Amino acid sequence: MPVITTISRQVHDLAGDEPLIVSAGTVRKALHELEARCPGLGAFIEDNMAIAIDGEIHQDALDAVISDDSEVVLIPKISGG
Amino acid sequence: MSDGDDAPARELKVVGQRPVRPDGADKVTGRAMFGADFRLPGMLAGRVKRSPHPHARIVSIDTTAAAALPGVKAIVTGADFDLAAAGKIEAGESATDVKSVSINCMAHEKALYQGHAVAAVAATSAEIADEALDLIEVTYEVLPHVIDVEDAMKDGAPLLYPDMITTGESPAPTEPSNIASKMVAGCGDVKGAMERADIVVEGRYRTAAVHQGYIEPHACVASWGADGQAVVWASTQGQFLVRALTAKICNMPLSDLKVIPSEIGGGFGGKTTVYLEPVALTLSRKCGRPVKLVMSREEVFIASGPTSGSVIDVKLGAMKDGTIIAAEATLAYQAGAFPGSPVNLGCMTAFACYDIENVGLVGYDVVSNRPKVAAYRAPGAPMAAFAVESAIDELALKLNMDPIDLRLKNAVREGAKAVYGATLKSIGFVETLEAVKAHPNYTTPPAPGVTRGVAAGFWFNIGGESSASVHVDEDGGVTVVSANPDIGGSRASMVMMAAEVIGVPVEHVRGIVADTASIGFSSTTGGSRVTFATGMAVVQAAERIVEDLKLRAAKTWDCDVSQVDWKEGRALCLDPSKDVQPLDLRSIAGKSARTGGPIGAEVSLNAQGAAPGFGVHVCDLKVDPETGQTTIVKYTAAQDVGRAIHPSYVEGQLQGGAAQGVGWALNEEYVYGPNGTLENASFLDYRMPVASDLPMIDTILVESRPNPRHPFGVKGVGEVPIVPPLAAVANAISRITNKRMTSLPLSPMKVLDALSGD
Repeated sequence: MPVITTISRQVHDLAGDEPLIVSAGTVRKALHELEARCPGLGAFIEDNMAIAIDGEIHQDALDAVISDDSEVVLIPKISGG
Repeated sequence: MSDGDDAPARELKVVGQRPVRPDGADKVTGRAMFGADFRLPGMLAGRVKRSPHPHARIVSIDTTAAAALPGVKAIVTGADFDLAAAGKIEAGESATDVKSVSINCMAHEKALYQGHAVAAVAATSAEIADEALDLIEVTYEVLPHVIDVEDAMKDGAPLLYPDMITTGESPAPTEPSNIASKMVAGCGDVKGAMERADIVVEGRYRTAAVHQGYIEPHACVASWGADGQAVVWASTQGQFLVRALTAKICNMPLSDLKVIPSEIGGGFGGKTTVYLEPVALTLSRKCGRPVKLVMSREEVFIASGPTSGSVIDVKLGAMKDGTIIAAEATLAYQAGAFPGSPVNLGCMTAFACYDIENVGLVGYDVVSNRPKVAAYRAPGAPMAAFAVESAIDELALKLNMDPIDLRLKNAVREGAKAVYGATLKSIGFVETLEAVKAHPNYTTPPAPGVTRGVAAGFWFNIGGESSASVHVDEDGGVTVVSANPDIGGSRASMVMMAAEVIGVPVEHVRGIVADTASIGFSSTTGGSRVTFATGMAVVQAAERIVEDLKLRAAKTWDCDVSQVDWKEGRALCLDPSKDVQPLDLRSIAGKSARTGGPIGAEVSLNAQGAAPGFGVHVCDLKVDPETGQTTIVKYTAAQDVGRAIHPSYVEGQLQGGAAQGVGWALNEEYVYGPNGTLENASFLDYRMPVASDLPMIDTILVESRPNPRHPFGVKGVGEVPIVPPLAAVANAISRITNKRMTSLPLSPMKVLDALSGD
């Protein structure tokens, strides 16, 4: 099952001891799972984080697909000038 | 439809060429309509009264005398803005705290920086409005202020917000401070790796707050209609962002507000928020007449966002062969009067060019009594790159290694993990370094008395939401409508991509930037996203047009659409049973009513798959030993650009970023007096580079790594080129002074001090 990694301390604080493991599927499904296990975590990620799946950074892309062997990384959302 | 994922190789006829710029004639002949050029019948002149104090409680505001002045039609203060509109909105790239934006537009209770708006007037003439401002009596209780980031972080510093507790700190602090948030990131065992390293370099680096320096000041006209429908004309990088923020602040539905973008005289990130629009609209709402507000240059400096000044500690540990095994940095960025500096982006980009096993990063977002910072090309990255690339240069000197070779040894390659954890794909950093190393500007040694500095830079690039429509006119002309104000040549890119797909001459395609009522939502122009994301929407819309044209040809020929090909702007019939001539675009468009009606397509999408970009800059310069004056002799900017749609514009982006970065390195800074007021709020005293200050900036476009997720291989190009120049310049000067130059700007006095050994 995909394991989510992140450098965000806020995500780790919200997750506590809960491992960030989700089922394969979509980003939306993964966030629902995290929200169910750690209330507030899924919503925080949806509002504040971009999700890099296999090296490609997705922002607000809840339909993006996460496979069993995907590398999934949360990073703060990126803006620009 | 194509997002580039499986796009076949195309034989390109338009993309990569250099047609005449579609915006050029209007700009050079003065016909282009910028924000301040717009006029309406009955329009009033607006003026804003601003705090003279960097930090003060607003005890009272008496507008009685001003309101009685003949010609004054409306006055607003903070009391006219409903802070119940507080909250966050999703307005494109990221959530925006509307309450902070509202208070930044018009102060409530406290003035948080010199220049903070405290009242505004609309009158029948600018002179009357100015006179009315003088008649508004504001009583202040002046409070202690703090300007610099290090002072603001000290215990006992004057607090802007007595209830602000640092977020991201674990455990959470119990006492308030000016540190809005803390970010911690990293990987590996930094301490252990530093102890194993053969050589360690470390230093503290400082950068000054600098302004984006767009030549056109902020300007808008707002008109509130009797039916509650309102229109705003604004100079902005994002009309939908202006609509979202203004409507929220003015507590009105989005559908009641139309925002029309003007031609824009530069933005560089600084026009990705609102300062004037909610104020002008509130004035107009009060008096029922259109109101124009235009900032003076002084107001631009004191009241609109510069980017953060910073203090950054960097430490690198390396082996004798040049392999960097440990890196750590602590970054503290000024946010201005409201939280929200780009320190998180500084942290993520600081070491992004290098494959380092052990990395530690700490970032602090710090408020102080300065104007709220705004985005500036590659927000947060240039300051971090200045510190890290200076340290890399110092390492190269200590190891006696060529600075390009040292970077090649440690460069991220395809498949490496970025410091933020993700695997990097479609990157061309190594190719960019190698292109520079092979270029005559690098293989030729510097002239006597000239030194050379090298630095690299990274930016993520982003995609996001974009809409575009393509219409075919009755005579075969094509119109491309998009929603992104053109700050860097995007109109040219849009029409070229449409021309390429449809197969028509680019001169037959016109690009339009539409208002919020005329096209679907698009995120702001910024983050180097438009040619990538909006370009993807244009390409998909153009592809739909081609499919439609093929269908119409099939109807005309009474054959199956599978028997129709589209090449070079013409439908070709592949059905051997049909003895027909090819149909060109004009023929099909002229009879469109007979094949289904008008020909048009609109695409809205949320583009993903933006690929990061890397830049490598080389600066040759000399210093006058008597005056400390620095002269740039030669400058070379190389970049991993994916594929350049219009190479002249891409080269212009590289040159513009380099020029702005040279100004950041050598001259630009906000100079505050002891009373906390800005002392150089004009282009006379805030010295930006002009054409005569710089040589021709040579460019190298590295196109060996096109982005496979874009139909033409586009990567964003606008942010990267401002990342390397700060360190490229500083590294060259350090090699003259034989002293590491750690504090920007490198003014003549600082250089003289370094030359004299002080």
